[in-house]
Amino acid sequence: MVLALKSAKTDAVLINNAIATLAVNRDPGIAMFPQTLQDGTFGIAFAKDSPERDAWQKACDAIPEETKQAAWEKWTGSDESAKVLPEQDWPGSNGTVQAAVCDTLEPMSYAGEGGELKGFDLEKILLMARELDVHVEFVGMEFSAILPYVQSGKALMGAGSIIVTEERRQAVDFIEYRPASFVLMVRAVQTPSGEAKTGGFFSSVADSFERTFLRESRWKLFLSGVGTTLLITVLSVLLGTALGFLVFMLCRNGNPVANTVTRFCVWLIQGMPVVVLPMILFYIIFGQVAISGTIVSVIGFTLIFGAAVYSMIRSGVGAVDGGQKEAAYALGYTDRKAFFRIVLPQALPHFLPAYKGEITALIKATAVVGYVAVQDLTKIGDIVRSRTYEAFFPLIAVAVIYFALAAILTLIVNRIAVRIDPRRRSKSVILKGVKGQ
Amino acid sequence: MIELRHLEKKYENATPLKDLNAVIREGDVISVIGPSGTGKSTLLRCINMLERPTGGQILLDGEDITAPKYDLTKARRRMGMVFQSFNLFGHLTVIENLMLAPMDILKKSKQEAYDTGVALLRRVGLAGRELQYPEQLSGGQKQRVAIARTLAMNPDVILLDEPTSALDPTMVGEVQAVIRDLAKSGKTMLIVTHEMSFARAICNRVFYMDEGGVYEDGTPEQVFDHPRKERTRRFVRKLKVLELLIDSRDFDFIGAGTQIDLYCLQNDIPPKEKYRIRLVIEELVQQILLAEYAQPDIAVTVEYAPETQTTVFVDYKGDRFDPHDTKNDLSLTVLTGVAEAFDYTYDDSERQNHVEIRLK
Repeated sequence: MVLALKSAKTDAVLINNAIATLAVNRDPGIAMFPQTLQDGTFGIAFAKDSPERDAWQKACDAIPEETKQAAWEKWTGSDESAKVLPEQDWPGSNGTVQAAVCDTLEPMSYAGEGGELKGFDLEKILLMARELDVHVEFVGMEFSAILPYVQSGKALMGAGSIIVTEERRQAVDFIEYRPASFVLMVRAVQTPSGEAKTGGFFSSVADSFERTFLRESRWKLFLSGVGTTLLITVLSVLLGTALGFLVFMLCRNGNPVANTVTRFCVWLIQGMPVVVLPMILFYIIFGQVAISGTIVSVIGFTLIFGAAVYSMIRSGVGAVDGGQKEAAYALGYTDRKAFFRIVLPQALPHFLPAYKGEITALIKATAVVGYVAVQDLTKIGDIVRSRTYEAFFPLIAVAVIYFALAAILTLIVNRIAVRIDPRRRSKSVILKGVKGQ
Repeated sequence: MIELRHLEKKYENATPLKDLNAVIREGDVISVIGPSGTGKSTLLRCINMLERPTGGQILLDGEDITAPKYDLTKARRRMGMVFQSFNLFGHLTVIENLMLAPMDILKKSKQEAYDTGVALLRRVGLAGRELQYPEQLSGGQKQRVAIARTLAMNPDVILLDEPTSALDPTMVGEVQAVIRDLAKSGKTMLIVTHEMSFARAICNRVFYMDEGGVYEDGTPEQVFDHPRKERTRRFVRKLKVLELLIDSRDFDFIGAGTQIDLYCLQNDIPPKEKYRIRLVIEELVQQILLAEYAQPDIAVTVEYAPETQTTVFVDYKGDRFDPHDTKNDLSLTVLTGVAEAFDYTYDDSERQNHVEIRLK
């Protein structure tokens, strides 16, 4: 939004005071209206009736006012070098707790250099933790994921620029730690916009590139995002293929129980938006289990891909004419052997094109894993965007990387397809080891 | 070698085989003929259990292969099958089609399978086609490969299910030549076919199938030249038959007229012939017989075959009555006018009176 304001897409932005203060301190071209609207407080969320909340509330109250104010000024100020979280140098004799924090809301809670989480909220939590002598482990995620995460007990508390509202209060309990309000941000009268653009198009592109990829070594973030996306995709493809194949083998001979169960599951999985299944798995089915979002994503996409593979194999096998199977039986093949020697090799070319398409679809579908607190490529794009206030480079970069990944995976499948296509074998392969040809 | 006992195959809405009994001896070359829908293919597919019979037993050298625990692959290894639609393995070359099963099932070495395969291809006249794929071959060539594939397993019995039915007429000959060669070699064979002259030329036994079983079983001479049973006779003479049953005075003769028209149309019976058939029925049945019997029970059978004379059989129940003795001279004159032969017999079957009129 700050971005829209600076590029004159809008003339005023209604935004919370933390972001506004930071923006104003950082950029003299932006000013803040003195009146505040809808005053409230920022809160740290705890699960409803959490017994630990009171202890933390006490710890919060014990922090001297000056310390709180100093922290606020540090994180909303323009001095980037000062924005470092305090070391957790206390003994931590009361254990370690998890805190779910948003990773895209500068200055309250965001991912800084190398994806390291920081921000005012985190410092606040650490100040309290020092009082209580506990260590805190931060888990970064989408803002919308924080409250479900806390509610399901995966983390003790959640923070990330959460403004306390009545409705949120019904779902979770809060420690209210800082006044919040909405303020109007506008461009200052003497906008030095001309000055900013003096570098010309190329230097501004180079500048954007520098900010998106080089500053704070953000390319490392992108790299880790690519790694996560690839990990989820490749594991889901492999496991999903195995799953789909296994289920097909169970259903192949019309076993009524296996078929009914499979039909129901396929119907369920394919009837659900791709984003919903991992969320159901993460927040409901594995709600009480300490399990990483990546594993849940792999499970979810394995199911999705498995369902697709099952349907593909079924139609592929259906396309092989039944007479050949009969011919194999008549020659003395068992049902299983006839399937593997005669039917499957001919079904493969039928469904490989669809399989390739499915992989491309899958790698794109994994973009939703941000909802279950996984920092994949798309999520990294969001994180970087929230820091640079710039849409173009992160988005284009993300799109290009997805293209490249899909192309690479398709290429690999193509290679495999050529290798297993019985029609492409040469004479020497067919008659390998036969003399007197 | 194979004994079929009370074999039965029921489908939801048809029963092609009911209580079929037959014995197939070693070295028999049996043609299975019969009208369509009488279970010829079903019989073949039951013998190697591609279709599981719903009743009865199949004994292969005394062993019941329909027993639930019997290892079917053992029986199938001894029974090759050639299909109407070839069913070659599309992803494999011709030679691999011949090598695959001997290597997989008989555990032959690749070299041995290859040598046998090449020899068999030469035998069916397809030497040099080893590395082609089935889809590059003509129908006749495909079927010859399929026969060679069956032979590669060196089965004791070969079942051929209408091997030439899916072929262009120009390709039938090449496949028949291969089968003829096979029949001479002394292999036990069962062949379902519609080509009667071919069946006659190669086989030493004929199964005429009808009414859910082997209706008549005999040498080709017996079955083709001197069929003992009525349906066999009609079939081997390619007779087209129309049957009418007049069992009341209110019989719908107008409807019957339409039936006769349809029958003539379907069987390409010339209009002149049709006119005569109608004339015989009108004069003999309507004019003479209905006048004679108050409660008629008359069965009319018309038999037509191209290039032979049409015959009308009229069988009726009741007191002995020869139509020649009718007082209706006009009708009698008409009848004798169109008939080349006009015979009357009486016996003690259900309908005692029999008239046979052979049309000119």
